[in-house]
Amino acid sequence: MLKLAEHTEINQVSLTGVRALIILALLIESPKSFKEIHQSLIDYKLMQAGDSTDIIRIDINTLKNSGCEITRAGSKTNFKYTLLKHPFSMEFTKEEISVLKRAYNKIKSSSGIELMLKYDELFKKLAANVTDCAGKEVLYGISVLKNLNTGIIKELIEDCAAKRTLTLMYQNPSAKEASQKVVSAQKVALQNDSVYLYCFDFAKKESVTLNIKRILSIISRISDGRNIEIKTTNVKFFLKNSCLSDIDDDEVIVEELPYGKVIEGKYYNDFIAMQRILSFGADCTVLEPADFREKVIEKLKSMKGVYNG
Amino acid sequence: MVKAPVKKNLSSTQVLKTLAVLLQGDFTMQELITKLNADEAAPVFNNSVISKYINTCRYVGIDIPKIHNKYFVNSMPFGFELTGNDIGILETLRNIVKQEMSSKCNKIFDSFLEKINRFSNKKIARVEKETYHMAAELFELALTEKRKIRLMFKNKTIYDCTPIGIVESKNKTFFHITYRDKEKMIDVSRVSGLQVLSEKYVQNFNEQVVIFELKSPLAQRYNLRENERLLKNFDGHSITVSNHGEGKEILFSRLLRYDDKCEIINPKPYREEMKQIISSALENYGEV
Repeated sequence: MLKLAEHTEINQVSLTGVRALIILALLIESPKSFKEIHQSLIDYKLMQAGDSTDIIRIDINTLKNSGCEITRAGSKTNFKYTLLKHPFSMEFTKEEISVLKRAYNKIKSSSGIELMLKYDELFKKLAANVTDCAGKEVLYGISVLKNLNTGIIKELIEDCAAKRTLTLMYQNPSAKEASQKVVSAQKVALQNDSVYLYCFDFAKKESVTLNIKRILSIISRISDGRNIEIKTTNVKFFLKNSCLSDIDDDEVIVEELPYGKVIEGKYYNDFIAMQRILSFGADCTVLEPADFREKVIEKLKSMKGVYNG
Repeated sequence: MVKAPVKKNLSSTQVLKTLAVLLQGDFTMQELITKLNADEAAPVFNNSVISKYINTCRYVGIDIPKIHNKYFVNSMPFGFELTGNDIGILETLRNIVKQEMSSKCNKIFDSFLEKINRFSNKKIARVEKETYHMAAELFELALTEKRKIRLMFKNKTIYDCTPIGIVESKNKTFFHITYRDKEKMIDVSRVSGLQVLSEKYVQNFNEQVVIFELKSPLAQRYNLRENERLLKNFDGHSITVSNHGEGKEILFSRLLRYDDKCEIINPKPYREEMKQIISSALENYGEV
């Protein structure tokens, strides 16, 4: 609801102009019926109940004439006027969105999922307030969560905090049909622009990471507060100084050497550990445990085979 | 039958026109008079008319201050609400731009914030325009003028090299350059000085395209980045992707994660380099 200034503050105004601005503000807020507009103008003391309602029609025509696209209040629009476009909204240039995107890309790798949800909300809010369709789409597209159901992400964050046991339908990429999984929710994390649910799979009896995009539905939630002890994959490795990557939260430097450092990483499971180690390329040598070291060697041999085949 | 002309209110039209012009920027009264009368058959906007229309806007809560003789829209009640979180986020983004991007980017981001400021109901602190990252600014100047740069490292090493771009990754900023025909990512924290040289370069390295193949099951679930295109759809076995202009080290680190499900097809030097990385990694374990 707009708050009009006291008359004592304004010595000279155009009351018809005020009416047009009020109608504009009402329609920006949401579609309104003729009756609703009429009542609002009475509430603002800009009209009296007995005044001709033609005034409102003229005001709407005036808005249209000034560049506002307003639908007819017909049966298709539930007898409400809808403002489709108006010249008083934000429009961003390509350069502005590009700089915004660069700054966001810089921050996103070091931000948690909760913060990314807030960025997502801001981008949606900005997009909702630009009328240019292309600009809207670009703003929606900046967020790393653009194609995800943020409602499910928020629910899963709560599930993790409450350590709930979830029964969910999951579409495994290698399976034709979705299957049911019973898991203990541990953590929701953003990794390589995808959002994962870290959880303990009761059927597999191991910790797994599920891409949230593939969670089709959550069938049930049980707040049993079961405290599952997660067995992490602990890897000790040597990392050369030439490596550009930062140390993650789950890694600690155990020894500084002239040409590098010995790091101990505690990863959620073997898959996450393997991905992390491989990402360092030739800058990294796994020291312990021996069986994981062997797995890395086998993987590298297999990769070499791809190029020699 | 002749259609009756649509009735409209002239005074309201002129109020809306005044607001629309004020939303374009900051103007003196004289500038407003000129702009508003530009498409009128006869001058209808004068000082007192415009003052009345500005007061009309102010009456409904549109904040139109006059600073240094210029009128501008500071906020509109039918703009949108920014929460404390939103303001915090915008401040964070503003600091990143301020600390790590050129003055040109700062100027662009200022304009972006100013628009948000105008259309939202809460103010965002102004960006101090005199603060910017000098090295980033010079780097961008070299890119614009296609001139080589000299990077002076803290350890006294000097690289006369070709700039490619500034890359942000994992909370760090890198100068992406080519030095002795090899692409390198230089962490800016290692650099103590940057000089733009008079020598020009011709090659545009930003157009580097890398083509790689992804095999099943990764191929089915791979999400294309915005700088990537699908060259070959999934054929039951693999997809082929082209990647444009991603920093080499960052791209390699990512492709390595895909282990044996990924193969670089082109360009040949990239393919050879990946092969070399894998071989060197195996050598770390005494495997040849």
